Amino acid sequence: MSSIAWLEILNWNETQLTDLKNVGYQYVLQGKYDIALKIYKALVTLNPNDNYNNKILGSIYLELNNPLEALNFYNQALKLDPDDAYTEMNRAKSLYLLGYHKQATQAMQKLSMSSNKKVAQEATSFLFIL
Amino acid sequence: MADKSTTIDKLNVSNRYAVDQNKFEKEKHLFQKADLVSEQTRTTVSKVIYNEFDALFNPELSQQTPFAHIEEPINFDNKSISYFSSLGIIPSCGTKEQLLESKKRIESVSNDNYSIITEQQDLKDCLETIINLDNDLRHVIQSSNKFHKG
Repeated sequence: MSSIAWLEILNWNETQLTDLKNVGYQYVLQGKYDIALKIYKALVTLNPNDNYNNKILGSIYLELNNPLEALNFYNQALKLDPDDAYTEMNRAKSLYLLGYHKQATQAMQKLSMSSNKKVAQEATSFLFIL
Repeated sequence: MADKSTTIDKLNVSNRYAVDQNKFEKEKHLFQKADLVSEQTRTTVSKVIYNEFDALFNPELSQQTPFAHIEEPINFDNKSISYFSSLGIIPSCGTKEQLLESKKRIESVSNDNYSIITEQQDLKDCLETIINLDNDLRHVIQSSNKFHKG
């Protein structure tokens, strides 16, 4: 948590944060990850305890082929919501891209047993390529 | 689900990931063998293998983008602002002049701590990005807001 009250300095509140989230997401949808990255980096600075911001930022880094930074933000997101299976899967993909195949396989094997059928199927599918 | 034979052909020639052909053959063999055992075992084995086949015949599952399951952050409390933000602009963050003032206030925070400097830079980058987002369109919408407010 930052020691600086950035929101007060900016004189912003939840309204601006929500708008930033929406705008950032629109740029994600357009594939303009460079713009979305700047917006979500600021959002994580302004509200580091928001699981959503952390997992989006992780995914932007994954799309930008930076699995190390992606892993960092997926870890932050999972600290805030340890039961988020999709973030766990993206984390496993980051590990795989970083060359940690054993850890990625273990994580995917665990996810392939998930009660969430979509998660289990996607993890099983991913295991075929590991 | 797509036609399986077509999918297998596609897997062989165009799947960007290499599919483990040996594993596929092994699963197929097990599936055929399941016909020789009891109904209950066959059902259980078939179910397990079907799930694996289902995953195999949907290779796109492993190629989902990391955003595939992340929902849009809709602000249901303020639909007009959500509408503007859906255009990729952020009127609630202020005019260009106000944003430049905000940037100056961010810059005025003096600290030699690395993480604070990083945060400072991230916020400055974001403000610059917002300023550069289609200024003309933002101006049009702000004028429209003033008009509606009378």
